[in-house]
Amino acid sequence: MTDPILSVKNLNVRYFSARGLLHAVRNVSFDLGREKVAIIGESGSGKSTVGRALVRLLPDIAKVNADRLSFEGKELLSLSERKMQDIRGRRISMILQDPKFSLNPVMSVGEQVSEAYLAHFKVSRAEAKKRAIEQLASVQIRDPEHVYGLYPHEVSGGMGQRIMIAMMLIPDPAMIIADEPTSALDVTVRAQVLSLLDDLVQRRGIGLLFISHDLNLVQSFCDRVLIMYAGQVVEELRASELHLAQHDYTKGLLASLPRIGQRRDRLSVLNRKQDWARDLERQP
Amino acid sequence: MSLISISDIDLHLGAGTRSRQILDGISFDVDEGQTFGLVGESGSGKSTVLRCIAGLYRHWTGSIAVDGDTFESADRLAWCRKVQMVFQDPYGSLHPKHRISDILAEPLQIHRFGDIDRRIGEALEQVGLGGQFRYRYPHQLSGGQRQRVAIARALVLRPRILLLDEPTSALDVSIQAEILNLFKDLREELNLTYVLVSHDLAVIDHMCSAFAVMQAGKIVEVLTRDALDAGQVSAPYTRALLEASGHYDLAAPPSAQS
Ligand SMILES: Nc1ncnc2c1ncn2[C@@H]1O[C@H](COP(=O)(O)OP(=O)(O)OP(=O)(O)O)[C@@H](O)[C@H]1O
Ligand SMILES: Nc1ncnc2c1ncn2[C@@H]1O[C@H](COP(=O)(O)OP(=O)(O)OP(=O)(O)O)[C@@H](O)[C@H]1O
Ligand SMILES: [Mg+2]
Ligand SMILES: [Mg+2]
Repeated sequence: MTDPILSVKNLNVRYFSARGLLHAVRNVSFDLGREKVAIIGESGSGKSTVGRALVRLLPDIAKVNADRLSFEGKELLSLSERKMQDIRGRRISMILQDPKFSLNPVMSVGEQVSEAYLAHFKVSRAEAKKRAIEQLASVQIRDPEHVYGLYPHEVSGGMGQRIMIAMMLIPDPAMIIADEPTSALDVTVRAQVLSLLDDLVQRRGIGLLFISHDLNLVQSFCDRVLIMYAGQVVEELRASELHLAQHDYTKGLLASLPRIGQRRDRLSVLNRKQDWARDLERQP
Repeated sequence: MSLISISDIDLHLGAGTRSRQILDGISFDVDEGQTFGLVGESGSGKSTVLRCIAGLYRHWTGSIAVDGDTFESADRLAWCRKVQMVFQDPYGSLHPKHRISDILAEPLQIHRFGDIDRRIGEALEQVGLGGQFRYRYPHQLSGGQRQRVAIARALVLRPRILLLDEPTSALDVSIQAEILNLFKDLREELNLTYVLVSHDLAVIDHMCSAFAVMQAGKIVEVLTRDALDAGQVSAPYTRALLEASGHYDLAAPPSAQS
């Protein structure tokens, strides 16, 4: 791969909480170019912690270190908080799982898009509103003038998610971290959100880190897949070759999925092995 | 004769000028021992149908009968003992400050059952949780264990029908497999009948012999599993669902329809 947008080498995150130390992310390494890379794994495996570590949005009890965490050539861990804020706002965007928590409940969704616009460009309020409406239209929201005035509780889950995406696109990011962006959506809306993200990768050359636990979706939507188990990347595959997985955890996950047209009386369940959690070798 | 028979249900929600028709002429039948599925887009009324059957909404028109008794003529408590519901969210649906034993005892006390201790033990065993779980709080359980507790709570009253509202969509696929297997085992052991709501057609296909597809408060199509496997679907919405289900088609991005 030629000059990746993001390069991560031996990322470690430890949480120091009242209950003791948890080594939540262990020696995770990967590169992200102008492509769609998925992180999959079960609840608690460390997917969101990786995503948040990349934008340095972890609570104070989390200690992060890495041999390398470089984004567009900059070493993220050594930047000042002010520089980091700048990158977070302009070059890296993050979509969170539940749009209703991320939107401000007492401000109309359109005003929020306008505000995002004003934060990045020196334009009049009237101009920001006009651009905000265009931005809403660009994420396939029908009747954007009407939607502009709605409050977050008045829009459906899929619309909320698209509004978040509209806001994210304003600053022209180079990388998007999407943490379970579609698990709250039904399949038809989900397809629209995915096609928007896909379009960004194809046309604007954005790198997309797609955190999910939906194996089928990842297989058809992404280019590469990192499989996490207990804080480590236990396997990395081309998405189209997920069925060739070697690791027993990945194989177990694939086998546990029901599939249309492959009728079975019982689904196979995961038979966890202690071995899966043992320390893997660090990257040199 | 069908165990559940629903015919021509209409329901409006919201007061005054904000009142909207949410269900429009919903009809279907479910045989004893069958699992009947409901799929459809978000907001199409799937959860609302379950709420009507469970008796959580009462101002619908039409008729709902279970085992020959109509909802109007039945005793409310008796209806509730026959028909129990399991909700989607294993985190939200259990009271955080109550021990598992209290959570399971509550419906038994409301229905004035005796022998509460034994019944709790039995229900926990049915869902594969040992007696040591009795004195735990929900936050001390994993997502899959919490969902098992929610199922146990629905089972303590020995219902004939379980209404399952997206019972596995908050769970990892490996845990989903365990819970779906559990539902199948319980259906055999306890001779249960299910109505299952899911947005995952593969889950519906695995569990249900037949299912209804809903859109905007209406049933647009009722299909058997065999028809689904053979791709014999006719409503455009079902086709979109089938195409979008489980995978993303890079070649044919969906048209906008917000
Ligand atoms: N603020 C925190 N303090 C202490 N431990 C935490 C904190 N946040 C996360 N953890 C722990 O770190 C581990 C990884 O959590 P993380 O949220 O990254 O998992 P995940 O893979 O995103 O899971 P999910 O699929 O449930 O979102 C878990 O064991 C979790 O309990
Ligand atoms: N108390 C209420 N007052 C007014 N409208 C309501 C109320 N509860 C639900 N609705 C509306 O009824 C419709 C059907 O809701 P329902 O929860 O049954 O949908 P669903 O098919 O279960 O959707 P999902 O897949 O998102 O769970 C929605 O448009 C919803 O906004
Ligand atoms: Mg997460
Ligand atoms: Mg619902």
